[in-house]
Amino acid sequence: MGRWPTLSAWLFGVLRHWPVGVAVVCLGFVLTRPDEPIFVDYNDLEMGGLSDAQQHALTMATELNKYLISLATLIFGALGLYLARYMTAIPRLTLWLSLPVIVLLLCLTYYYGFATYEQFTAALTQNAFALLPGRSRALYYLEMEFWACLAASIAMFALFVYGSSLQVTGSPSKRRDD
Amino acid sequence: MRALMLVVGFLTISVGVTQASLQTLLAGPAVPSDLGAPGESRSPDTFEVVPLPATPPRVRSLPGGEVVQWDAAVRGIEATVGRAIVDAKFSVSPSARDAIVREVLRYSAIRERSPEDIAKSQSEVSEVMGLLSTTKKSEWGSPTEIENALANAKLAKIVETLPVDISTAARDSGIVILPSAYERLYVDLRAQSAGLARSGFATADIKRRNFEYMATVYGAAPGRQLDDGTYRQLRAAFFPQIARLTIISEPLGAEVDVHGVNIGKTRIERKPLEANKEYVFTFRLPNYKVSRRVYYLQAGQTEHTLREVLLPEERK
Repeated sequence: MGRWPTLSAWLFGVLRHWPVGVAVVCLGFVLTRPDEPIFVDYNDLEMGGLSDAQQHALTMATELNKYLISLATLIFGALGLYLARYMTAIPRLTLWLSLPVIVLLLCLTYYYGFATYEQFTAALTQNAFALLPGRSRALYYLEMEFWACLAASIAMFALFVYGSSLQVTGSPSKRRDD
Repeated sequence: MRALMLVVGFLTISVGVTQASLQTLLAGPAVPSDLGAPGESRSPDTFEVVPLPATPPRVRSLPGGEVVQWDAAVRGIEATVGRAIVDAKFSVSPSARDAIVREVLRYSAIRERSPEDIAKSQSEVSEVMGLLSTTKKSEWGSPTEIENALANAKLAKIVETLPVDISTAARDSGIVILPSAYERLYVDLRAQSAGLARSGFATADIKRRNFEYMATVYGAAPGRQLDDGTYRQLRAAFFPQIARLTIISEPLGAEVDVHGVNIGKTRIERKPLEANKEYVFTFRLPNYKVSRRVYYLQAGQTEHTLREVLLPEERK
């Protein structure tokens, strides 16, 4: 019986600061993705050139990579804009717990984006190419980049919805501290 | 609510603009066309890259009679190993005995010996049995026990003389190795030796490869001193990330899996694989025992050849 108030208080806290829970779940999801493939199935490039099919696959992968990097930059920008305008409306605890997680997820997106390019460059300069699902490290990093970007977007959106719901009832100029 | 609409609108417009600009940027070719000839590696400007002399994959025709010769060689080795086991007073299970036979065949295959030579030779059998007797163990149940014992015995012998080998090779090349570079080189060579020991290389072959590695590094070192930074630069410049492995089985036509992924039938020519890494190959051929082979793809060589001699199944 003695633990009941503590547990209820804890549950109440989690429910009250739910964007933190969303951010942590998103980060956990990204960090528990399967490890990179042990065996990378490279193909030799004939005469040092890519076939049409390989060229298309590579273009699609690099396009997606560029798009995800742009999107991550955009989320960073939106986060900054949002903080500048509506920071005061969100309780400090929620803000300072959610924010580092979102920033970490965005940084992971950048890292995976860089790693994807690095893998392509390393392979192509050595006349090899690997883009088979489950047997390509470049594709693995691209997938991780997608998940990290998606997780950052969801966490950001949760924080945004939370802030907006507070806006309806409270003044944006006055902080709603715990 | 106004804030929600503002941010959603901003995001939508920005995503649209980003996509449009990306499509414009991506209109041109995304990949450089001058990738060079296959096997050609790019080198940084700071060093003149002189790769290790590559072992060219030995192209051999396999007439029908050669399969019979290999089978006869395997039977010969099995008989010799059987006698050696009795002489050493070892108690060995059939699967563990197969592991010993495989190790002997791997030594011979790496030394590119012909089936006739293998059938006659006793030296590889003595080498393997000598290693096993250093373990002071006389009962062997599983092939893994044999493989681990052999790898550990080989590694112990190599590590024992590794510091002397490093210093000797450096003195011969007229190089002074600073302690930081020495430590890193030692760690790298130890890891390489452990990988090669598990791959079925004999102690002498591993030592020879270690000396080749050191000769490459020392030969390329600018000045008379080798520090940690220079060693790392040399290693990155000289040892490409991707090497080519030619996979041969005796007899040919075996299905090959790498870490459970099928990569085709032998003979497999110049398969690009990441170097400085250990792979687990499985060979499958009807009427032959399934063979599992660990193979470490050593850094510093662009061309490797893996030859696996398959053991025929027991005839009933």
